[in-house]
Amino acid sequence: MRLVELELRAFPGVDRPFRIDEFAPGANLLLGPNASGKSRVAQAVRAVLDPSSSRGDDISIVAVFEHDGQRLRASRVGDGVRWERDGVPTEPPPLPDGHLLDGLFLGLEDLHRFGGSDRLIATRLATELAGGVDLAAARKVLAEVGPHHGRAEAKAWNDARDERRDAERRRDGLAAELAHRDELAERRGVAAARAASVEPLRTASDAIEQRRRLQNLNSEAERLPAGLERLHDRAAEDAQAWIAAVRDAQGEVDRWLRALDEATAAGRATGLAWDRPRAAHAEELRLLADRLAGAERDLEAAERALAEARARASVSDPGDAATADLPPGPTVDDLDELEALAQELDEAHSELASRKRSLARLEPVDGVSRADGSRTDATLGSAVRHAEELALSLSVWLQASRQESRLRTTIRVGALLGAVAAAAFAAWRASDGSLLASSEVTWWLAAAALFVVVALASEWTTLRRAAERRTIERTVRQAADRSDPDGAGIPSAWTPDAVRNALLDAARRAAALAAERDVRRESEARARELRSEVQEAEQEAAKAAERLSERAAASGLETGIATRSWLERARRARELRELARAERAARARGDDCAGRVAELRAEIERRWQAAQGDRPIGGESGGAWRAESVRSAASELVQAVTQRDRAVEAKQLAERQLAHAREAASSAERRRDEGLAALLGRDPLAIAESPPQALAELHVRLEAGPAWRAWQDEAKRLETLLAHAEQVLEPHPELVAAVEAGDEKPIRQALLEAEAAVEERDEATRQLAALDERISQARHDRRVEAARQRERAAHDALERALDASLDTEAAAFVLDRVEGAYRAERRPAALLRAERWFERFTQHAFTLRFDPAADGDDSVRAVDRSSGSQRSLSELSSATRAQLLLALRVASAVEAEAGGPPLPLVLDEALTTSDVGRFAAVVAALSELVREEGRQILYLSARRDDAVLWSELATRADSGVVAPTVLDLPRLRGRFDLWDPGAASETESAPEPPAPNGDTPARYGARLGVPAVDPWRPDAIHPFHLLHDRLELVQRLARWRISGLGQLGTLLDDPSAALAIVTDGERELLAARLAATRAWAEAWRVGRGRPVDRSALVASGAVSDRFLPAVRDLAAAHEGDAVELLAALERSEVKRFRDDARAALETWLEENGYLDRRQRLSAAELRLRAGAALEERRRAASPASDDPLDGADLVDRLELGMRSSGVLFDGDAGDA
Amino acid sequence: MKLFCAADVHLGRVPSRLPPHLPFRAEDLAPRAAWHALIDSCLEEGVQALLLAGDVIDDARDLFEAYADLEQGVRRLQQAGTEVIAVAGNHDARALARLDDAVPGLRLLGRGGRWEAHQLGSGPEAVRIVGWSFPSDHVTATPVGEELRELLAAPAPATTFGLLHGDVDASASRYAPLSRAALQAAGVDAWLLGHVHAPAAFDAGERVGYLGSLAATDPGEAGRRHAWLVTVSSGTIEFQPRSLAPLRYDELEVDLAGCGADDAPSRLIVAIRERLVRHSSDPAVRAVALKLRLHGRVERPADVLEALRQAEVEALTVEVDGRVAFVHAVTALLEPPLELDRWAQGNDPIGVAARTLAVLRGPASAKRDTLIQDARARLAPVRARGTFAELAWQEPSDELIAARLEAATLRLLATLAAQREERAP
Repeated sequence: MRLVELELRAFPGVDRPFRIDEFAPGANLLLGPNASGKSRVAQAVRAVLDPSSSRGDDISIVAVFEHDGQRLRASRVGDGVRWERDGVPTEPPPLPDGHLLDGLFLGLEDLHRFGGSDRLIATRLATELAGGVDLAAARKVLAEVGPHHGRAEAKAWNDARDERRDAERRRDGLAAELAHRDELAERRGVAAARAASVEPLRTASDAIEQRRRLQNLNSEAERLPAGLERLHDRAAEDAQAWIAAVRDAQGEVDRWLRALDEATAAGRATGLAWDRPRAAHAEELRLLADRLAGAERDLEAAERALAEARARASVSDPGDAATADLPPGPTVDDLDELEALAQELDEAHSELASRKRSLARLEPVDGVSRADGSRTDATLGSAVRHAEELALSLSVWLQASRQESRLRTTIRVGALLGAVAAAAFAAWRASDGSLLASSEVTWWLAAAALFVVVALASEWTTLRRAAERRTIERTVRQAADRSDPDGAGIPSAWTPDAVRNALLDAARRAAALAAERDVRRESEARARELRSEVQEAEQEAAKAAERLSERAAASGLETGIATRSWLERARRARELRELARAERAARARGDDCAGRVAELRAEIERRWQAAQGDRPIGGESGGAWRAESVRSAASELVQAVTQRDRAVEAKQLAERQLAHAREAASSAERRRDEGLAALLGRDPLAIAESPPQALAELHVRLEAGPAWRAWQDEAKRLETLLAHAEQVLEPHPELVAAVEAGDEKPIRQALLEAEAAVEERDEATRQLAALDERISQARHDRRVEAARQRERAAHDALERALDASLDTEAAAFVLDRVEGAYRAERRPAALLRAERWFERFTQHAFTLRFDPAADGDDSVRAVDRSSGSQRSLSELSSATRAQLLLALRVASAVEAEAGGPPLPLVLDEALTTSDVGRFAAVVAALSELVREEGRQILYLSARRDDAVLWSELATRADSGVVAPTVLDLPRLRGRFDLWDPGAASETESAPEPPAPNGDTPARYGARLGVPAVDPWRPDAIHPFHLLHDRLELVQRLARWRISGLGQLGTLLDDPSAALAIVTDGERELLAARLAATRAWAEAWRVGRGRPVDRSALVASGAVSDRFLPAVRDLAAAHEGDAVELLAALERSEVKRFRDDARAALETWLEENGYLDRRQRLSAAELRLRAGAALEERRRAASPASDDPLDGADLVDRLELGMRSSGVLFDGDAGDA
Repeated sequence: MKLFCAADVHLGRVPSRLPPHLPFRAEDLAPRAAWHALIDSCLEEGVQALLLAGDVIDDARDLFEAYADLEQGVRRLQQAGTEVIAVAGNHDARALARLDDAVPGLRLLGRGGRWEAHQLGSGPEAVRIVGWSFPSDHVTATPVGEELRELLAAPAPATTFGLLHGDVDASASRYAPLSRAALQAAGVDAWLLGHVHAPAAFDAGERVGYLGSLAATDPGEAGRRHAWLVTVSSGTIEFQPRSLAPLRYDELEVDLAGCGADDAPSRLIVAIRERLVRHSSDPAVRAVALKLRLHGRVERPADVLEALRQAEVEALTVEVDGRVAFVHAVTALLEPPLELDRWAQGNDPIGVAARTLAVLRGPASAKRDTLIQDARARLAPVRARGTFAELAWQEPSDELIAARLEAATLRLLATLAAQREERAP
């Protein structure tokens, strides 16, 4: 089914309708610049065949197809498509589902990459290949573990094994030590035996030394003073003590002599005899003086009291007559009580008088009221009531008068107005004269009459009210007459104003009368209260008078005498009597005191004389002394006696102590003399003659004392040691003899040997103890057993891992066999078709290999028929890849047509490429479809070059390319302006590369902007690097946008395409140099490995996002060298990067060419390989190539190109 | 007279396939636990002597670890007046000689590879023990020869037991090859042998055989392991097995026929529990290590397998009355409910897989051999991987490979059948 006509009446993005009716049956090349509507054409065709591809009400398309010689018209308006055959609606032809048409509508990038539709195709093919089951999914299910499974377990096992071995090694070491334990014990025994003699030898050696020292000491001791043995340890201290004792005793004697002198002087200073007066006498004298002073004070007090009594008696009136008849009976208490009772009586009388005065103030008012006679409380109440009644009557009158006046006025006016109005209306209606009017007049007259009646009724009511008022007036007058005979309160006239004034007067009078009545009532109540209180006061006064009388009687007074004045006089008389009695007592006391003073003075004089002889008392002679003088003298005497007695005691004490001190001094001197005599071995008497000399002698001996004692101690110590040595050495007579002989040398030698044996014994003991400890520990810690337990567990885990891996591999094995066996039996038709087409597209250079088990683009591969190697899509040249995807998709779409009509294949810019070889290959493939399937091709392109190249290819007889029908879309749409050279130059044709024009290769390379040579990407190496001597050919290839060896290879692989551009000779030259370059690049890569970059790290899957930056930086630091990177990772330069991740990375890098541990090839080898490839290709060429370039030259150019970029070619570097 | 006999105690060896989490310490399941139980039993029974037929110590390096256990056990027996008579095996040729010197009460018979006799008791019930110990780790010549004949020719009590460690009827063995015929002809009442861990049927009248290991330490030692209580009375000899090992390895076949994904795990647990309860008759057993073999026709094998995987059957632990059963390996051979023969007629991957299974299960044939050899070649690189190279040193038998393939094919069939069922309209 081919498209004949297409009319886009309305379509999104199309501003003006247009129609194309020049579609040819075969290849159609629809040319048009960008935005000229090419894509709209493709979308419109699909919109007709697959309405779901575009939706919208603004779609209106008419497409005419030809099928089996008939024309089918499809018109789409909105979302519906109507099919007509010869103008008659018909069913649409059998079309595949929309999504299956992907293979027939290919867009710009569809043939560059493996896309979603390819994935669907692969899945369908895989499912079909798998016989209705998903073997790939089953493979995933059965793949329990991955190829690296068990690494962790193996490492754990190795670790555990190492740990166990280490533990066992330690045990082996211990066992070896244990084997030597007996030997060690024996060595210790021998050493111990030898060491046993160390003690006697050491004793003997020491004894020799001690003997020698003792002898030396004795020699030194002979030089010391004699008699030192008498100097005991405390000799010096004793001598000092003796001397100090003598000195102290003498000092004591001196002290007591001084005390005796002082006491004697003090006694004499008192001026008293040593034996009188005695202290008791002096004290008695002082006490008598104190008593005399007291008697003198009493006498003075008695004289003052007598004087005061006399003075008070003289102030009183001893002649008061009243005092004479006063009874002596009442006491002061009686008088106080009587006076209190008299006070109470006075107060009662005072209270009574006060009440009576208050009552008297009320009595006159009462008296006036009573005198009035008509103003009693009852009359006042009656007057108030009458005044209130009068006011009420007047108020009623006023109210009646107001109501009467208002009612009468209202009714009269209303009735009058109503009557007048009714009459007037009746008159007006009567003038009408109609029957109806006469009736109305009657009614209106009746109404007027009614108003008149109302007015009369009102008048009658008024008259009744007037009668009522008169009744009130009468009542008022009667009431006024009763209350006030003068007629007060009656209105002056019975008019409302007069009545209102009368009402006000009546009200005021009623209020005044009510107030007066209230005052009167309060006064009466108060008078009643006061009268009651007067009675109570009178009773109280009577009671007080009675109490006073009773108390006076009780005090022996007559009734009625005990008045206040009498009581005052009685008190005065009593005071006079008291004063006289006090004067008498004072006089008697003065006499008594004077007698006592005289007695005491006599006694004092007697005693003073007895004590002091003729010394006057107080220094006053003639007995004119006073108690104070005696007391002072007596005190002085007491003090003097006390001092004298103290002096006597001190003197006696000093005398006793002096005797003791003299005896002690004598004793101390005797001890000193005897002690020194004993120390010095001399006669005490001789010492006593000259103690200082003896002391000096003693000092001399004491200085030699320490040396003597040291000698004595050391000698004793040495003797003790020698005695001990003698005991020790008793079993060793030879040693005893040696000691006695002082033969030291052999003993010392033997001792050294024995001491070495001791060290040996101790060391062996320590080693044995340590060994036993280790053995004991080993028997308890079970370290080996624990290590074995861990190793066993790790081993078990690894066994499980092996089991899992074997199970996975066994499952994969079974699955492979099942899959292989099934696939050998059945192959999908679409796959067979795709394989056939791909072979034809590639002129049988490749076959298609579909792997249903692989994922995504890995499922489709091309097998190089010459080498048998498989290439994935990414490894194919872009042309071969496009051919493969084209074959796959079209085959799938054709399969989807399922016997229906073959539909047009639409390629919208799908071949737009800079690769002329690819273009030629695909065009050839499309031509195959046209020829074989009779399928219509619509190829949409923006570049006129495509038309030129396609047409040029079609002209070659052996190319098999079908000549296209070129349709100029702007022309067909009448839009010639769309071909604007300026606007679409880039897409229409590439700029013309510059001509060499005699440039050096370096300069020309710079002008072309040639990139540096990258051996890792040989397909990207610019042909310039191979063709320094053929710059014109470089320019020609550039014109056809061949900028890499990949493109060049594709071109050369397709002879028809190549010959459109190059000659046969040039083709052979290029093929040879291309092969040599590829050989060089491959050889150069040996041992280098591809540089590891971020994309490689990501693709490896071994580096998580967390570690990616650090590992990437590390890779960059090592310039992408995988070996160095892995070594750095092993050195943990990236912290916490796990070993298993590193192992996985290593595996991946190795498998993907990043890690190449082979030796790098030498420069000579590189040249050799390039030369060999060059020669091999030239030999295969027919006719033989005459290219003069050899391998070394080519490699030199390439290596120069590696170091240089287009920028470096900028300068004239000469002919590189 | 009562004697206790045991062999291959392997003190110091640790059991394999123990799960990481057990309700008791792993060392409590080790042979040393059985050793101490053996000492307890000797004391309870009041035996005259304990006879040990070699490999008491697992490794010469166990000198110290084993010493503590051995010394403690021997000391207890010595205190009770029980003699301990042992011969050295290939595992303890050096260690036992050392311990003989170090452990008082241990009597090493035939030290240095010289036959030696020792008499137990006196009178009519006296028993003579003749024994020979490994002088080194390997002995390629049979020890049964003239020296033994001369020894046996000497006057002796009525009953003679031979205590020996060696490889019966394995003439090329490096572990003291022994001829059963020569042993039977030697004139010994019973040969109590060590080396092979599977016990002989002494209680059924066999008189030349292995005592068997005291305690299993490996799944290869599935089944009962025990010591023997020997009673010699009036010329009769009675052997009674006495189980003392706390750990037993066992294999359990579980028929999951008719099970679905929901109930398969529970049925499995029930089966394990029942097996554990069966072991409760043996009071010594504290743990049972199970190797599961699952079979039966199930509706959706893939789902059942997935359910079992989800249930982590391989890490399953079941506890009953303080005893524990755990799974150390699982082989799943579940089949779909349809007849495999019918499937094998299909022209699809399932048909091909079913035919492959039929070949594996069928009689020996060139096709089966090819399949197994191809699989062997395919599996060889896995075994040769650096990861596993040290482990897989022993070439698997054809039957092992066939079993692995069978399991793999059944899994594949289960997976494909599930896929087809899902895709069915």
